[in-house]
Amino acid sequence: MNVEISFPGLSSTDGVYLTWRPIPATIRLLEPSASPNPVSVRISSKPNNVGARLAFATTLTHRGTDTLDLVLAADGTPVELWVGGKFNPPDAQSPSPASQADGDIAIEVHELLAGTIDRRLGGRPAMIRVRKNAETLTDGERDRFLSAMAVLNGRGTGKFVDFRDMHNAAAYPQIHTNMSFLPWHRAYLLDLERELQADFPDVALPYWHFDHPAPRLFQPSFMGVSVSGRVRFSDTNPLRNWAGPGTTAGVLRGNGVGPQTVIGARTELQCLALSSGPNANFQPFAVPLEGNPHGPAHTRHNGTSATSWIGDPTTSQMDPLFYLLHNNVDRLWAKWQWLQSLAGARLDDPAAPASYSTAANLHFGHNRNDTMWPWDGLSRTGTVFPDGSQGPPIGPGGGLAASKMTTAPGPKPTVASMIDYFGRHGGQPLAFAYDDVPFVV
Amino acid sequence: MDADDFGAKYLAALAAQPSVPSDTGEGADEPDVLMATAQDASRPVAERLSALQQLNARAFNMIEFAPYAARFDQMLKSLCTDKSAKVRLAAFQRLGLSPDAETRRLLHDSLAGTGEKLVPDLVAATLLGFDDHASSRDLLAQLAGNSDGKLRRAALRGLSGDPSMAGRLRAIATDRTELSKVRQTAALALKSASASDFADMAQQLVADPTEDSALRALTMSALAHGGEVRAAAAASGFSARLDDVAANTMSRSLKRSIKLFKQMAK
Repeated sequence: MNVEISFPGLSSTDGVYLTWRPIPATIRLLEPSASPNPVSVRISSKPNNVGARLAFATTLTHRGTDTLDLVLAADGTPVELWVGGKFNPPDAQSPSPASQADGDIAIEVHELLAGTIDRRLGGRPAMIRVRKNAETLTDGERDRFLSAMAVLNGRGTGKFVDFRDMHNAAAYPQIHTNMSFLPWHRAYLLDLERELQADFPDVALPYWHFDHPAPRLFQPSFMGVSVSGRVRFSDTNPLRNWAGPGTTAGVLRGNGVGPQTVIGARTELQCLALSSGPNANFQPFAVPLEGNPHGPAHTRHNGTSATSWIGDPTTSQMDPLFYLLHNNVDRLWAKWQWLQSLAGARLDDPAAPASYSTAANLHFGHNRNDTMWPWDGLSRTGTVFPDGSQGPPIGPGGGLAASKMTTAPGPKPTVASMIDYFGRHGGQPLAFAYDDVPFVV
Repeated sequence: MDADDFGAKYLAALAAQPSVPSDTGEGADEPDVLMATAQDASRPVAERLSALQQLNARAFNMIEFAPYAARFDQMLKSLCTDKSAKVRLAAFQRLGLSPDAETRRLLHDSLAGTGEKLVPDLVAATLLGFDDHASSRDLLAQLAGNSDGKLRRAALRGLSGDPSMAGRLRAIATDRTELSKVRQTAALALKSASASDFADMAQQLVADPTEDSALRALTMSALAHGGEVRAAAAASGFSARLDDVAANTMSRSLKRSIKLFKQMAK
């Protein structure tokens, strides 16, 4: 007698990649015993070496428990449960309270006899895959991420070319200084992360927590160190193969940010306070955020050398650091959504006016229910922006990449589909989360 | 601490947060004032450089900066021949992201010695090497042959966009009399200039236990992360030879790259 644990959309051999947001699963008896009696089981998790574990419940909740007792029918009828990572905020003692490698956590199922754990009936490896502060990655996590980025870049000829060209000068007026700046970049990062996961499923995009020094990140072994405007990587860093447009080798980045730099922009708490309380609203949060800290996080790199891809909005995406920078901007949005929701606002509910601009007739791609360029395959050349610039033509890359862990947001994301990334309000989750932003219902 | 306690802690911190300054970021001076300062040769160089840095930051918001963009660009071009070397350098570095023909000519003449020495040779070679127009290919090729150290390596990188340089880059990458760093730079440049030539060379280097270990690790890593990985894996006997290499090398980075290569080749 053993058990089968199944997840929607996954085969029995697929990896299971979870976030703080529980997802439904089923468990059933296989090779039932001859006895017609149901079997009592206890579901638990095998924690990893930093104590990260799973939480279980019979409903969608953030208050799942370490163990869950269920009764399985002898005929193999499946029983539903909810499984997610047990949230533990990162702190000095445990800076990375999630998985550190593929399958380092497992769902365990034991038979219960008279309330006592008896034999093991089965299990399934899993991973709590969340976006972490780059400073807290293990060397192994860091190297897997760098390899994934290098493979995507493919020395300037890989899939990365699409991402590079989705954020170029032609795209600028469509994706910046306009209302959907935050939703658009959330979709962009999600698309890139899913492409990384196609070859490296255990990789989640790390973030550069730019109001703290980042002594591990700005090292030759990670995002490199700027020397005379060119980034130097260690001999074994896969990013040493990085290429930009054409076949330009390497990364151009100014020397303004080093291992001990704090960029001097708005702090996290200041960002969270941009619009707070029960009347918190997207627009007074998002518009200033794009200016600061987003702007200085780019331009501080210039230092004494302005030949710095990341310091210019039309070239910044060619620097791999760009994705860690924007991941932190997105994390600030996610954290603001969570925190202000605790205070009574409905900032992650796509149907709530406060969660996005209520202005009418924004440019196409910026209204709440618009599909977004370039994933929708539509040209924006008919759009004329206030400065006279024209929208971009049909963009590269096709639809947004799919994930086995969810059906959302589909290949043509809307602005609204980026708002409820945890799927708290009836939708599917986007299958990403940050290490310091919990799921709460 | 669970999610509820964590939220309560943050809400308390937020409640204690003083009102947010309207902007703690860039300086408040207007672009016109900053441009006047940057151009004023009577001002201290530090002030002028600070104005340039602030302008670079302001230019990040392209829509807000649009009314000033053309004048800023023109001003930078005029500063390329400024009396201050530091101001010249700052101007070239900004223009280096997308140099026009005149900027390229000034850099070329400075590097070739046929014009005024406007910036250090290493800066000129680096910026010209990033130029898609390959307008200084002959000069960079010359420097790749007869210069030293960082300048030579910058010149080698600058040739990476030119397939016609593949033979020359391969010759340097496989020349055991060259320094390892020079060979590594030439090898990576070859990968851009001719991916197939690079893959062929890398397979030979990696399989040769008498070769430079850093070069072997580098080329193996580049092969594993590149688009030719499956073709290389299909090459006669290469995968089998990699097993021998992994078993016999002391280099952890080479072992790691071989492992990744096999993973990516599947």
